[in-house]
Order: sequence, then C-alpha cells, then structure tokens
Amino acid sequence: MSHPSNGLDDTVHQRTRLGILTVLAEARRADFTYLKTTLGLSDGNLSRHLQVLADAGYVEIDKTFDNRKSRTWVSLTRQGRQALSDELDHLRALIDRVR
Amino acid sequence: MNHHEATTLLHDVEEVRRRVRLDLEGLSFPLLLFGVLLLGGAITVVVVSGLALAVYWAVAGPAGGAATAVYFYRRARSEGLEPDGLLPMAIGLGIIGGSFLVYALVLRVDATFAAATPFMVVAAGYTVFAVVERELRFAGVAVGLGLTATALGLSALTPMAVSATLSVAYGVIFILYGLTFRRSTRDRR
Repeated sequence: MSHPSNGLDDTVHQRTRLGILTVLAEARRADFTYLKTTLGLSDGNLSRHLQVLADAGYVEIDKTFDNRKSRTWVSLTRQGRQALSDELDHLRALIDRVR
Repeated sequence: MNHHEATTLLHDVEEVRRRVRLDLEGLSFPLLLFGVLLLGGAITVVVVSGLALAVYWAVAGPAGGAATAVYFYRRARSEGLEPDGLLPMAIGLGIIGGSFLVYALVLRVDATFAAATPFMVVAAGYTVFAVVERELRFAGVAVGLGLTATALGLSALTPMAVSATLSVAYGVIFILYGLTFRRSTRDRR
C-alpha cells in the first residue's frame, strides 16, 4: 500500500509556495506586494518562489503599469489549482492515517 | 512528513485562507449603500407617489450597482487583491433587472403582491450573495426578509403601504448588518 506522502509534489509541498497558492486560490489575482505582506516574505524570497511556481506552470505572472508604476499581478492556473487541491488531499490523508 | 507536520501545514493554510477571506469581505458596502437607498425609496413613496418610486429605482438601482462595481474595482487596485467579480455582478444585474421584470408581470394580476415582488427578488439575490460570501447568518436574515415580503404581499395592505413598510424594514436591516460586517472584519484582522 502506498503511503500518502509518496504523492506529494515537491513544487507545492513547501510552506511558502503552499501559502502563495492558497492566497491565489481565494481570489482572481493578487499583486506582489499583497503576497509579500500577507505571507511575511522579502522581495527576493517571494520572487524566487514565484519563479519556481511559474516554471511548473502553476501560476501566471503579469507585469503591468499603473499610473506609470510597474505592478506585478499573480494568478493561479488550472494546473496550479489542481496541484493545490492534490496537496491538501495528501495532507489530510496523512492525518487520517493516524486517526 | 509526519502527522504533526501535516497538521501544522494544514493549520497554516487555514489561517492564510481566513486572512484573505477577511480582506475580500464584500457584503458591507452594498448593504450600507442599498440600505440608504431603500430608506430613500420609503420617503419617495410616502411623500410623492408609487410612480415616483419606480422612477427612483430606475435611477438609483443601476447607479447603486455602478457605485458598488467602482468601489470593488478601486478597492482591488489599492489592496492588490482582486476578487472574482463575475458572480457578484451577475447577482447585481439579476436583482436590478429581475425586480422590474417581476413587478411588471405581477402587476397585471395583483397590485399589492406586485409591490412586494421586487423585495422578494432582492431577498433572493442577497441570499445567494451571502452564501457566496459564507455569511450564512445573513443568508438566513435575507430569507426571513423574503418571507416577510411575501406575507405583506398577500395581506390587505395597499401597495403603497407594502412598499413603504418593506423599504424601511429592508433599509434598516441592511444598514445594521452593513455596519456589523465592517466592524467585525476590522476586529477579526
């Protein structure tokens, strides 16, 4: 019988990236500053994790200009939403095994 | 990964979700705005006439809907968190359009019941909105308002009395709940 932890996706199974996907799952999109503030991250740390998620196809990053100021919006892709759902299912299965 | 780590991660996920949902809270503004407009409607029907009330809502309804849309758009841009706007917009359009349509259809049958039908449509729309916003207590209140409107529509009151009574009742309850949601969102942050 396979253990639930065998199905964990290393891209999603990381506290910060899980937090990013969770925020994005609740809204249509969030900007860089909101993600940084809500998750308590530095610019560099957030950028690095967003790149990992974008490379995996889980988020889309859109740079726009707002009153001549550059603004970065991030949204969840369909694969990202599925990956988040799978991760949460695995975590719940891990907890249920012990009960 | 062990059980304790999984539990901690899930707890962190729920905490993030809670914070984001608080930031997305969207019932207070439309409740406050339309609460005030409803009280204005009550004054209009009592001081002027039933026809004036129809004209009032033909202007105030779409204007209130537009103001709500602008509020959410500006809030999304300032906070950096954009909610899914399609469903609330559909609900709003459904309330505004549905109210007039149902009223016009029922008016041919019974004027008193027709006066209550826009309020039933509003109650139905806000019930759906409250369920989407996960404010189930207010969904219950909205259902109660809809049942009250139905009861008054079936009563022996005049159409004007039905409109005025329901406008005041809805207006006061919407304003009270709008203020309650604003305060509880601030407290829970």
